[in-house]
This record gives sequence, C-alpha cells and structure tokens, in this order.
Amino acid sequence: MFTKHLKLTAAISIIIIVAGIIAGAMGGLNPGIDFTGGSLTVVDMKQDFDADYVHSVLEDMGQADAPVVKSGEDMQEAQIRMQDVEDGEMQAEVTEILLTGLQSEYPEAEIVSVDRVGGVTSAEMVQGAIWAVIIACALMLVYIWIRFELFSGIAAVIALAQDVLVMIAFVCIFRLQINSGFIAGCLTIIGYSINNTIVIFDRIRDNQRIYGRKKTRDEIANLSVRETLGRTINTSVTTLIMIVSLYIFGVTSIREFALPIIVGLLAGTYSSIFLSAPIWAAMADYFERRKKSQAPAGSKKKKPAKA
Amino acid sequence: MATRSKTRSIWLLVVIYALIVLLGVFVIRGFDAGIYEIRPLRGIQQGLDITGGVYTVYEAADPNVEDFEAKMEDAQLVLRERLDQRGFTEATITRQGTDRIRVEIPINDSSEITDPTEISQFIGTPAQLEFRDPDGNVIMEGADIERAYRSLYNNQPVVAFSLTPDGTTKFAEATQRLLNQTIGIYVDGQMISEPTVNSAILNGEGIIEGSFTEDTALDLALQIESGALPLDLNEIEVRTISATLGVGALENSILAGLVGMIVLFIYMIVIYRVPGIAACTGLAVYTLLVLLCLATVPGVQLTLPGIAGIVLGVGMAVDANVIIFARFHEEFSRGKSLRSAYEAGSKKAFVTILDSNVTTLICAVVLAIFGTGQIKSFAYTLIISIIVSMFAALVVTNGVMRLYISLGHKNPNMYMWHAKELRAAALAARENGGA
Repeated sequence: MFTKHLKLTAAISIIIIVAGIIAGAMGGLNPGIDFTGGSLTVVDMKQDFDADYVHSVLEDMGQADAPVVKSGEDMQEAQIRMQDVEDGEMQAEVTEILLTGLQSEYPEAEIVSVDRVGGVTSAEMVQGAIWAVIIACALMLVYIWIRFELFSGIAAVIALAQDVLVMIAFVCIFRLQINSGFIAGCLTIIGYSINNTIVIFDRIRDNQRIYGRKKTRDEIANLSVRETLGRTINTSVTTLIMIVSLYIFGVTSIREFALPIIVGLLAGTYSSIFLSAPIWAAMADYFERRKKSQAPAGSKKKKPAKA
Repeated sequence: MATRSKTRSIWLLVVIYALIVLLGVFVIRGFDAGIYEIRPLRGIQQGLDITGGVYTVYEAADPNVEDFEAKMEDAQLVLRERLDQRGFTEATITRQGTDRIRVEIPINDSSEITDPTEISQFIGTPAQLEFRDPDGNVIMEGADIERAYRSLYNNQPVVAFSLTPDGTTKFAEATQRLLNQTIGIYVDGQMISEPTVNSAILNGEGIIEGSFTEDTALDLALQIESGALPLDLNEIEVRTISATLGVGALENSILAGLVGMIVLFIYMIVIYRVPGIAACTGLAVYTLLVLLCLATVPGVQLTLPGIAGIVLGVGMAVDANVIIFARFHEEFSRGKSLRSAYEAGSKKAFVTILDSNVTTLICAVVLAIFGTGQIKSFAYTLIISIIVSMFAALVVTNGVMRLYISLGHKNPNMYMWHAKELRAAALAARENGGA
C-alpha cells in the first residue's frame, strides 16, 4: 500500500525540492536583514510614539520586515533596521522618504544617524548550526543503528533531510524572507521529524519480532505504517493545533516563523507515512539481494527463503 | 475490596488535582511566605526579542592597525564567546559602520544582572595576559593557556591555568632559566603579580595570584579562556532598547498558547474520552513545570525560538500519550480487560517513547554543545521540554489513567470509541478460534 508507491511519493518530494532549488537559484532565496545587514537609522521623535505607525510608514516604503525598536532614556528614539536598497545612492533618498513619512505624524522628528550595520546572524553562526546538525544526525544515526538497524537510521536521516529541504523549498518558492527565526524553525522540525519516524521504526521492530521472516519487508513496512497511522495523524493534528494558533494570534514576526514550521510539520507527516518505512524496506531488500548475488553459489550462510 | 480501592482512587484523584491546582497557583501567581516573595513567572528571563534590553557600541581605538578587518571579525567572535559564557546566548553582535561593534544584550527587569555596565565591562575588556621575565621579555601569552578556572590558594581566590603543549614547553624553559628570579604577570599591560620561581614548572600547570575577589577571579578566568580581544575597544554608547519583536508579542503568544491548549484539550477529550482527560492532566502539569524550569534553570531565556521549543514539547508530550492510548486500544481489541489492556499497552509504549525521546534529546544536546547564540538557547528549552514531557506522560498521565480505570466504571465506551463492539468482536474471535 505504502511501499508500492514509493517511486511516486519520492518523486513528489523531489519535485518540490527541485522546484525550490530552481526558485532559489532564480533569486527566491531571500535572506533577511538578520543575515545581510543593512542600514540602521536612528530617528529622534522628540515625543512618545507608536511603533506601529513607524511600521506602517515602512510598509508603504516596501520595508515591511524592517524591525523597529524604541530606545533612549524616554524611549522617544526609533531605531530602524532596513535592508539595503539596490542602489547605494538611493540610500539618502530612502532616509528622506522615511523622515517625511514620520514627520506627517511627529512633526519634530529628526534623523540622528544613519549607519551601515552587519548581519545579526553571522556566517559563522549558520555554519556552526549546520555543523551541529550534521553531528547530531551522525549521532542519531548511530543510536538508531544500535537500537534498530543501520537502514532504519539512514531512512530516518533521509526523511529528516526531506522535511527540512521542503521547508527551505517553500520559503524559496514563495520568496519569504529568511531570518534567524527560520533557523530555529528548521531545528524544531528536525526534532519533530526524527521523533515521528522513530515511532514507525519501533513498530517495524515489533512486527519483525512477531512475524519474523513470515512476511516480507514490504508487508511489514505497510502493516507498521497502517497500524501507526492513527497515532501519526493525531500527533500531527495536536501539534498543528498549537502552531496554527501561534500563527493566527501571533504578531508578524511570529507568523513569519510559524508558517515554515507548519509546512515542515506537514512535510514531516508526509515523510513518516510515505517515505521512511518504504525507503527502509527498499534499501534493506536491495542490499540483501546484492549480497546474495555476490555471495558465491553454495555459500554456507543460511538465509531462509523469503515468503 | 473493590469499593475500598475505588474510594482510594477517588481520594487520590482529588488529591492529585488539588496539587495541580496548587502548583498552578504557585507558578502563575506566586505567593508570599513571610518576608519572602516568590514569583516564579517573574523569574523567567526574557530575551531581547520579547522584552528588549540594552545595547552597547564599542569603537576600535585604532582603526589603522594591521589586518584591521580580520581583527574586527575575531573581536566579534571573542565577544560572542564571552557573552555565551555569561549565559547571554541571546545577545546579538553586529558590525556597525567600519570601526564599531554593536552588542545588544537582553538585560531588562527580568534578568538577574540589571546593571549593564557590569556586563559590558566584562565583555569589552581586552584581557591581554602576558608573562614577562625581569628584563621585560614576553615569555608566554594568554593564547598559550588551554584552560583557566577560578580556584583557591591559601584561601585566596586565584586563577588557575593549564597550558597548551606549546605553552608547557615555553613555561618549562623559562622557569628553568629564571630559577629564583621573578616572573611578572600582566593583564592589559598592568602587572597584577610578580611571583618568584621556586622550582622549574614542567607540567604546564600554574596559578595567578593577585588581589582577586571570587567574582574578579572568575571573570579573568573566563576572559583568558575566551582569548584576548585582538584590539582595544572603547565603549562609546550604552542605551536601552525595546523589544525587537514589537510590543505585545509576548501577550499574543501567551494568548495563542492558551487558545491552542484549549482546542487541544477539547480534541483530546473528544477523540480519547476518559484517557483524553488524563492526557490533559499531564499536559497541564507539563506546561506548569516548563514555566517553572524556565524560571529556575540558570542561563535559560524565553525567546521566540524558545517558544517554538515549548510548542514542540507540547507536541511530544501529547505524542507520548497518543502512543500509549493507541497501544491500549490495540490490546483492548484483543479481548483484554480495560485494566490489563492498559497495563500491557503502556508497557509496550514505554520503549517507543523512550527511543523517540532519546533520539530527539541527542539532537538537542548536540545543538546545546556546538550551537552558538540563539541556537544554544533554543536547545536548552528543547532539552527541558523533552525531559518534562516524558515525566508528564509517563508519570502523571499514566498514574491518573490507572486511577481512572480503577474507578471501575462499567461502560468501556467511556474509555474509547466503539469499545463495546470491539469487546464483542474480540470475544467472537476467541470463540471461533477456540471452536
């Protein structure tokens, strides 16, 4: 049931990921100010002000994502981080437009300083995160290898990579801005995905004990996915309830971060139903067959014939 | 007997729920005990994104030094290291203009250290350590030290250190050469002590004495370990800033969490009936304990990624229950009684829950060790969530569920959908099999 369509289900995720890569190559990969840096404009409003109003001015300028914080002793200063405009000479103009926009509400507003700032999230941090994830995957693989079998570990890591890649593809295709929250989102999905997959492999381990070699790996994989289907769906629904409500009630930046997680959750549910167990069965069968065909005829290894 | 155990279960359930309510009141409202005011929720340190903090701008004293660009980059890494050591994993560091570094630190009403100058001095001090011979030649530097830590010598706080292999050789040579002479120890060009060499030190271990307090000894040790700042920085600005997520982000997230929980509770009870109620009990305990841990475990701050960690934890806490209930359902359809079906089911589920949580825990621990900044704090919250969620599911939900079963309600439909049909089918199957 599930293993039969592995080619189709794998093709679907590969298509999504490839589409993401193409979109990314065509400029869809849109790192936000956390990575790229930009300009830091400090405006003294000379009175108490509403950060939401500043946001609305920025939105009109096409800088809806620019974070605004209040600062100064009386919190009358606005510090605005904006992404760089394409043309360096435009910078002065941008500042002018911003000031005019702000002055219509706060007439005394004046620019204190405009400075270039680097990204908050440095390349080292992203690199560190990627290394940490690689190490984590290796260790999880070893753990799964010990507790289950090698192919389960590999299948689990493939499923996990699929989930994160689909998430990245999603933000590329829809040209969403990637900020540091997105990294946290990816890490969340890694944790979630591995948890989801393990439950199915646990069932496979159980069923192998019960049926031994009376059933093929395909049959065991299908049976295990079917038996855990209720649990997979219920768990996904309950986690989705939480994150969707964050999306509905949260402020803009929380939404930006909840949306990729929702996509990752769906991808994770998909991979744990349609990918992980079928990949395990296909891989284990493939290598067993290869081993058999390589072994000289009349090998002493006793392998019970498959049912 | 049956009625006695039933009465006992009812009482236990009453006591458990009373305890949970008490825990809730304690965590959310806090209480006054004489002169002590305990307010756990206020103890939750909130990150820059949620509550704001201060920012400090450092300016390089001399932008004309060699390799200025590389040194500025290195300086940022050293600052990061020092902030992480002090538990400010959420602090952000950015380059501003060409010769300035801007550090935003979540020091606000919710943090333990409320004086920004204390921390900005700690991170902004170069901490250039040098050992010099009496002629003023440098024997070795901070970079030769592999590990530095606070220790006690003659009841005085000192900084103890162990050297890298390279440093050990240098130090051994110098101490042999300078027997009975003095070695000057300088921090940022100032001599802090001048011990006399009594014997050659070959093992690469030593201490730095000076007029340290416990705090200054710890600071120096941490600074030495993070490496000296490659250039002199002057602090030119320290000011407060508001939350970067915008006003109301925390309130909105709390509202979202509450609404999500309520919908989740309804879903669980509709789908699982009485076991659903037990699961909700576990979830309530999970939420309260996570809040309590956030408030008490040092170095943990509540931030946007942290909220994600907690949400994931809720998912995993529910998941553990769902796994148990699914097994319970299976065992029951094999014709077991409610009680023995639940016992068998939760026993089988235990291995699954353990494996899935341990795997996730491995991931979280690696992130906590190798990650930097925000990733570290996300990992901390995730670790707390995983451990607490296992406790909530395996101890609280399981315990409450057993009590509910021992209430001995006759109708199994209270415990799952179509229980009567399942039981009838199981009986029929058994009879057919027996026949």
